[in-house]
Amino acid sequence: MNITTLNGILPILILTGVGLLVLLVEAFIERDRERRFAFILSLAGIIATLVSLFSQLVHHDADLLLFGGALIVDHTGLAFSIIICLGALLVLILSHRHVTRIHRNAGEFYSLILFATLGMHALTISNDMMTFFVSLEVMSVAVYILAGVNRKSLKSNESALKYLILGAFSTAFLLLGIAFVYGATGQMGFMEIKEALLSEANAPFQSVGILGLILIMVGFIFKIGAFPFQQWVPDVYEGAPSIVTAFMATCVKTAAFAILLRGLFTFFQADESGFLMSALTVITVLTMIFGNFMALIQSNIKRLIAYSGIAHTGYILLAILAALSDPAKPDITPILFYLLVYTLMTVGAFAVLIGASRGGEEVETFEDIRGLGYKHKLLGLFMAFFFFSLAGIPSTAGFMGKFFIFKAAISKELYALAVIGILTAVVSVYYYLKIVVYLYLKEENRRYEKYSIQWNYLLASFLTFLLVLFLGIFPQFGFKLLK
Amino acid sequence: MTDPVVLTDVLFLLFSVTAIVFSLLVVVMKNPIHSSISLVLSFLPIAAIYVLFHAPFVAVIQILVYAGAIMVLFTFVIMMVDLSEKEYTLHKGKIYKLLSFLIMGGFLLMVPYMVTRFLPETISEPKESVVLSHFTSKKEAHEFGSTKNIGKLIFGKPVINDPVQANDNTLKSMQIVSFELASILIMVAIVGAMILARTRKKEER
Amino acid sequence: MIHFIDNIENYIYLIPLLPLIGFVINGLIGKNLPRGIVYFIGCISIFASFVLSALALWKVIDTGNALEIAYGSWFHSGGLNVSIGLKVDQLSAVMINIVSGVGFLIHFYSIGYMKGDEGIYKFFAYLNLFCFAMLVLVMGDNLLLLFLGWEGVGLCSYLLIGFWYKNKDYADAGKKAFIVNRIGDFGFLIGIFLIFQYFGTLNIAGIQEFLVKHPGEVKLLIEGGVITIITLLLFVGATGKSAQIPLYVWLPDAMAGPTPVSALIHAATMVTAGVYMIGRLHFLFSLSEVTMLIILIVGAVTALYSGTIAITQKDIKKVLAYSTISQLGYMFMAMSVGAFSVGIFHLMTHAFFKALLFLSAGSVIIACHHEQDMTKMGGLSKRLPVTHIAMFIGMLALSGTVPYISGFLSKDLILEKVFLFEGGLGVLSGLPVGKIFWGVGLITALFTAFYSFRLMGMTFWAKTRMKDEDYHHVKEPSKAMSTVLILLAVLSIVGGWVGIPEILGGNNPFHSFLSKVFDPTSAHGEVHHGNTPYILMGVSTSLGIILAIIAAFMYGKNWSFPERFTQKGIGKLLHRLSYNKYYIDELYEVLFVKTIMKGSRLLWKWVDAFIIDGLVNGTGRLAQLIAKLGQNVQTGNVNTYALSIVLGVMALLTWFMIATYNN
Repeated sequence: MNITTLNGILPILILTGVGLLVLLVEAFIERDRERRFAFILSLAGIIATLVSLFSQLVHHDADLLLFGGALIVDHTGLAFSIIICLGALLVLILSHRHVTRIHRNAGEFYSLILFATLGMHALTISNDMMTFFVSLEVMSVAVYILAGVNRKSLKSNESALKYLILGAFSTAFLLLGIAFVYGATGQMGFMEIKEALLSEANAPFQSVGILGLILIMVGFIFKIGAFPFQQWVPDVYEGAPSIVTAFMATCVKTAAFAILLRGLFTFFQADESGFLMSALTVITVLTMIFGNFMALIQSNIKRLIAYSGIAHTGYILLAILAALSDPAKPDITPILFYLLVYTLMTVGAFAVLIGASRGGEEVETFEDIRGLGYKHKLLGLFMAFFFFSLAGIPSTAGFMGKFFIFKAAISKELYALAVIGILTAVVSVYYYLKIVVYLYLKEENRRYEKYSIQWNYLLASFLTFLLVLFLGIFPQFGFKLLK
Repeated sequence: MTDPVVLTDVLFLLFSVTAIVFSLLVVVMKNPIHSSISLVLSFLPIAAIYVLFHAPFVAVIQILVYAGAIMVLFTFVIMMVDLSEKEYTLHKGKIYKLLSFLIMGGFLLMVPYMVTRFLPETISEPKESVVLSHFTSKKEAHEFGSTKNIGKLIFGKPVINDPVQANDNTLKSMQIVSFELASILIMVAIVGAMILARTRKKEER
Repeated sequence: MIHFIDNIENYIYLIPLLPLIGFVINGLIGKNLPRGIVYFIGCISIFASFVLSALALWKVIDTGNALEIAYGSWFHSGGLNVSIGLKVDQLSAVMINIVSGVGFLIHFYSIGYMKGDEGIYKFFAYLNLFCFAMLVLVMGDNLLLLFLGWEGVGLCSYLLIGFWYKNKDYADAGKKAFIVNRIGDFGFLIGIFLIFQYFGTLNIAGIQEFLVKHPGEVKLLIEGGVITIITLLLFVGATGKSAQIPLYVWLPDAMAGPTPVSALIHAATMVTAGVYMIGRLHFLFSLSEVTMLIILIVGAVTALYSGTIAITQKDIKKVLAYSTISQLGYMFMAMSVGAFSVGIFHLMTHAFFKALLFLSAGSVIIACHHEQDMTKMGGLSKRLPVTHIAMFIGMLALSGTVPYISGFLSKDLILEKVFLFEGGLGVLSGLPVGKIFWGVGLITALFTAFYSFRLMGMTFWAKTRMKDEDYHHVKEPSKAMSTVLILLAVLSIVGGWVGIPEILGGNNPFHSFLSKVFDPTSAHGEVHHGNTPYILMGVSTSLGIILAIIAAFMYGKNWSFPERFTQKGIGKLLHRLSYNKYYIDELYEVLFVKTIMKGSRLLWKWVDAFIIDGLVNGTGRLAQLIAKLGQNVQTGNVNTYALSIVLGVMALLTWFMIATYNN
């Protein structure tokens, strides 16, 4: 094993090691100190991973194939992983102290987060069907458990079970697809499959291969929560503990997009009928419309965020379509930028929601956040800002993200898609603004007692606030970071 | 083609149909014990199919681990928990069941239909370049999975098209990563099992 | 110091920056500062910005060149390179002076008006933020910066309308303003994207350069209708921000905000952003006859339409709001006939007199303890002498009935330019388009004169309808407010003197100043047309005076004619239509808001309840299901979800099969 290989898999090694260590902590350290120790340890682990990823990205000059092409350390994968780790880091900061409210054992919780992150990173850099499938499962199984980590809550258990059953169901399609692709090409590596699909000798098997690709795509679409396979999203997001929802809405989605993107970039040229592209177009349109309009009628904030998350998925799909329509020189920066911004905004919003929850009850309805802006000024300000950003109001990063996506779509002449996107974005302003209005809505003759919140919520929301503001004013830095 | 191929085909058909029938029984049976026994029975034809594919090692593992160990565990758990029948009835109308059946049946017919339609009418002989390209030779393919090659099963074929790393053979194969990741997957599953299995009493401190 | 003034172009960044600093200070620590310091910071920041603007204007006049400064690249992505740069040319020099000048006066006025409000520091912070955004809007040298300011002012408007979040109505008004504006921005944004797509730049000077350098391509773009589409999309944005049909509905509701806000944002500055934008991109707009004609029609119809609404409103601020919409229609008419400098001229005079009117109305409202209903006022001329005179001057300017007062000059120029307009496409070709729209403008002017003096009559001259003790408690509000009123009254009179046309003995320096920006060679220069201008002026002024006097007597002397007229028959119908604003709000509510909400519910019902659950459960149980789903938003049933996944997969596969059938 030489140093290049070691460097390439360093993030995986760090995450595995720290994850196992955090698990072991429980056995050797008494309970009160355990929580803090596990927290610091996992925080250090994620930061070390981030540093390692960054250094790889900075020193990245050529794509690195490891283990006979099972892993590919390239720019795209690293950039996605950085976004994921950033999300995981913020979720970790948030979960400090909060974690004992939803689960008695902090070490287990942290190690699951670390293992899930590990699965996600492996997913973004996986380059053959086997690796990709196993990493997908590492991620999924960890998140299934995380969704049900709050054993005391019936809702959490139900959400985990639903996620598990439907996830396994969609995985069945994915596996069937992999089997078809393998049957048609006899290959497991992504590049080899592409070559085989395009080769003359394999022409009779091409259609079966595409059939397999469609089924694989079904698995991906399920994970990102786009239109025909989105039903689980609101139920699971609502039932899972908020902190896990934040993790699912950001990191899991980003990882699923990473592998979707890699798959599409590798395979869609092999699809001479152009079916994948047209199917994706229809899915994009329906996702944007469905997500936004369903969010309009929600009265539960977590469900609202879930549906709006579906809408954001639609926008990212739009960016992917724009990138795919120029296969020679695909520009994926809008996708990365949007995902980065989306991760920050969503974690930020959840930070405020979790910080605002009192006495073990999670913030759920609009009434729960009524007058929040008066109860805690800073928290209200952050929350309003995050929702403005999600709505895409200028000078926030959310605007820049949407701006680049729509610009890319129009410059690739996807006019209809761009118009639908912008129109649905206008619709989205309505429900985001509704939240902001409730934040500052006073009941007559009622004084709101001020309350204090713990430092970690403030830190997480403040960090995200700064980053969202900064990226909104200087998006160039975001580009540099991801380039 | 000569007779042995026909025999293989017949056997494959027989075993796969048996496997499917038993898998269906797992879901359909109302008594959990019957379900778990059907599961054991569905593993056996699958093991036989592995043998047909010249992978006796996997076949043995399949029987030993799944049919032997895991299933026994399953059955024990079911017997100890003592689930009564009524908890498993589906609270749905007849039309619901019928439609579910139709939709799933439609899907199950659709995929094979598509595959047969997409494939060319006559495939005289399985193309080696296609099916066997994962291995360097036909012999290797046949040995894949046999007890002799347990190491290769796990670590896969050594990589030869990567000159930089070619001199270091032990960890340079495609399956090693999936193998290691699978171990983490199992680790995660264990943690999950612990979380789920912990008794209520402990939960409320 | 002299060095500073000579090199003012190096410091123009301070013009928007200072209000931003004011915003930051007041927004962050204003709560803990004494009130005096909050006032001081709020006012001094915008005043300093005004001084700098004046210096910049002086320099522009002096040298005749635009002050430009580029701060380098902001970001670049996929061929789009956006730079940050500020530019003060003749047009934006005028604008920044209006914004910071009127802005300062209104800041100062607010000290008196907002006295006693606990959130005063927030109010000043938002006002400063607004000024910052507005200054960025007018000074930005590229469309993205312009758009940023554009959205920024919208956001501040939203914050300030909802400033008193006491009840949901105010919050809803803010929300309405915001969402309607977003609909306009949707068009604007697509317009910007298309400009980038076809011209490859978002820099305003760059676009102009492109038009000059590539005449061949531009010709193709014009013939292909691309320019028309782009300008129409931009105009959609302008209708949102500048409250034109069909997106004007937010402005009357926006009157829920504090009165200084109405004066600054919803009369003097923000709502004119659409007019400014057309002026800024005049080289693009003048390439499309279709767009220009549509702007003319929209402007004229809006002007007349809102004029007819204003004559029946009871709320003093609503009258002024509809009057603002009507006057904005005038500005668009001027822009659309190519008389850009005239449009900007009216923008300026309107900023003066409409700010004056709103602030006077503010004084009245404060004096009457937040009563806005004019039918409960009357006789205030004795109790509020300063406000009375100020408002009278404002009304004279608005109705344009006194020669040489600012509103008279600008409005008459507009009517003249419209009269002389010769164009018309499609069904309008061959018709005397200019004369028709002049007629519309004239009728609007008469309505203006009428409602102006109706307001004066009801508020100041009629016998009071207040209770005695209330009436005697009415007194002029603070000195600060009166001072501002006097200053603005003077500006409303003399503010137009920079643009006295030659026929009235001036030489219109305003026009020649702006002609540097608005192509000096174009046909709308000062041309003599014999006696026509005098006749037009005479007709509109004399008719206006007559109507003003009628209105003044009718409402000032409490004639019973209006009441009798609106009691029965056609009069009742007309009054009701006008008073209820032609039920457009209700129509929009039904057409859009309800429909969208209903559509969303249907979507959910159909997709999740009917198609999936209803299908599998049989229609017999549908009724029961819908009732059940009333409680649960989604079915929540895993079996159903799994089935719908299979259905989705089958749909995809069927499609694939059909797509590849022939292969």
